Amino acid sequence: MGNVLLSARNIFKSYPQGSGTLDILKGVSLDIQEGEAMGIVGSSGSGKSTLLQILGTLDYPQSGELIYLEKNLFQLDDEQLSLFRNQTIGFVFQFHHLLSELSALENVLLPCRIANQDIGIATRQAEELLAFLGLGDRLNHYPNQLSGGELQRVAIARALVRQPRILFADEPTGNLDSMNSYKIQELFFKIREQLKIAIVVVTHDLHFAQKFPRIMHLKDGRWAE
Amino acid sequence: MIKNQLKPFLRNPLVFIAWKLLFTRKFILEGSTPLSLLGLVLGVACLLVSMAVMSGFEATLKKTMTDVTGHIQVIDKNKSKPFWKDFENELKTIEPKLESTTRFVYIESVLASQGQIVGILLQGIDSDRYKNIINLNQRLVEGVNDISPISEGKTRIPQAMIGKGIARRLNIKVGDKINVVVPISDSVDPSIFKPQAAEFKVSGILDLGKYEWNERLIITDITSAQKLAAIGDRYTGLIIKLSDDRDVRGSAFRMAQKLGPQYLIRDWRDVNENLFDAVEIERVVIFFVILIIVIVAAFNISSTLYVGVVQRNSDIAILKTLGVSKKQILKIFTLQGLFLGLMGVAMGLVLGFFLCQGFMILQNQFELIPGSVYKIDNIMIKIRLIDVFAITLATLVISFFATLAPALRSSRLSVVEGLRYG
Repeated sequence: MGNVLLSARNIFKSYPQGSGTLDILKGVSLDIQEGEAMGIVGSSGSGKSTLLQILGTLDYPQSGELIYLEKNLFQLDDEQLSLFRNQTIGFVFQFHHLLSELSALENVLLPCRIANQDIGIATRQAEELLAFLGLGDRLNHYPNQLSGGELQRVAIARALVRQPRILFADEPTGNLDSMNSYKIQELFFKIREQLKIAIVVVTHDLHFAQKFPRIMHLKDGRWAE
Repeated sequence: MIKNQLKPFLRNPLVFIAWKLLFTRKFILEGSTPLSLLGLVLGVACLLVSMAVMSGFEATLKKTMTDVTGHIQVIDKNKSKPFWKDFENELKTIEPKLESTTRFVYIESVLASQGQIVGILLQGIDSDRYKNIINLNQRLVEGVNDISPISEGKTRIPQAMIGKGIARRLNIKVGDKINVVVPISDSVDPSIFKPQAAEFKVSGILDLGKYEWNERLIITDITSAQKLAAIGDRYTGLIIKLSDDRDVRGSAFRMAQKLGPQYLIRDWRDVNENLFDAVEIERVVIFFVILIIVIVAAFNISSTLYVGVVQRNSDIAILKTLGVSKKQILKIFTLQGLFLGLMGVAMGLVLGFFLCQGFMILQNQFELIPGSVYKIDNIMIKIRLIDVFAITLATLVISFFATLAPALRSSRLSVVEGLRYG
């Protein structure tokens, strides 16, 4: 077991609904170890995507703490949180969310540009990463010239290019056919093995989830036994 | 080539993102961007043309003034004229930039020709010196620039150049003879006047650039004028030409200080001070009135960017997940507004420049400006750097403020909502 990298403690999250509120997360706690792979499963509306967004500092809970290396992330300002996301976290979503105006390589380079990294060095890294993900011949293709599986692989490359310590994926295969879905699943384990980063995947696909050494089941905003 | 020049500029991540998100084929060609940009371009072009016309009008006025009245006029209020050569030397010691002078005299008189009479102003100047001081060569429409008396048989006849308005009204041509009549007061009873007339031969017809001069001014040799008005060698004052006309006002001020209140010193601007003040006020008023077009156009830019922000909810959200802060999102969309502003300024200035050229061509072909209304029938177009700078600055500031609302909205977008509904 590695060291705890990110720790969520007693997270409560609710949304206003009519005159009352809808509780989504009801005191959820979670430790993510360095280099671990975790699958979070649950039915639709169980709060797994909300939890992932809170873990990724994309959303704030009503109460609770998120500790990264002994630092409470919710006490940081927007600038510091943005820097944290750029340096430490990679995101992959159900939809690729690539910028249609940029080529595959430019999309992957975007986090490096935001970090003001040397573009020459970053370009070499991005090219290697895209080649590793089987897209070496698609560098200058634009999103509308790529298939669904390729788009998702470019999105994964974009999430990995800054060498994050944690990769969060929200239903990464939810929009793919079974063949591409299988390829992407395999890719996640290959990434974990080679890059030694923590991977947290939210999925409703139990077959995919069962491949993870650690599976967490969220039910009605709480961990299920 | 342009791409290469933009490379260092695009190295800044925010500039890169702003540029890439703005200048897409869809956004430029299919959205409302071209129309909003067109509004801005037209506004800037209108501003440039109006400022160029105003500056040109002022420059035309200045040229008209200095061509006819010289740079400075020095008038002795007490009419105790010193010998003019000594007076010129005295002025030279005060103002080393003084290049040359000529005496002048103004005499209110009546012109009679072919049975018609009109009131005119007879200006007498030194026939052997005036060419160095006032620029009538460029004002000559017909005939020659010469006012020296000529011999016809046994008699010497004075020559005069007349404004083109007088020539047209009385159908006077070069070579015609005109009679100028001056009322002379009786030496015993000053309330009694007797007319004294002299015949002048028209040597040239002048376009003096100013309507009332064209309609009233006749220029002749000072000796002939003095003789006609029976004033001996008295003269109204001196017309001065300076070697450097950039600080005429300063030179006039120095002369006024040295010569004292006995002398009236008028520079070319004083001669028509009200007109120049009005032009200056008009320039400012026109600038702000036409700036309203730019402000309206900026509202279009604002709504275009607003639509852009709404359409790009998902892109904004993903940029935030990649580490772009709210402040940086704000900067990205502000930069987009400034890019559009810069494009509008650049294209507007080019369009304005061509419109100015077109105006010049049309002005040369047709009588666009009726002299009877505007006092001047042909104006220069003068594009001043200060005007270009003011237009650019005003447009960019307006574009910046127009951008703020959509930019603020973009920075406040929720990542979660952007990812969910984007």
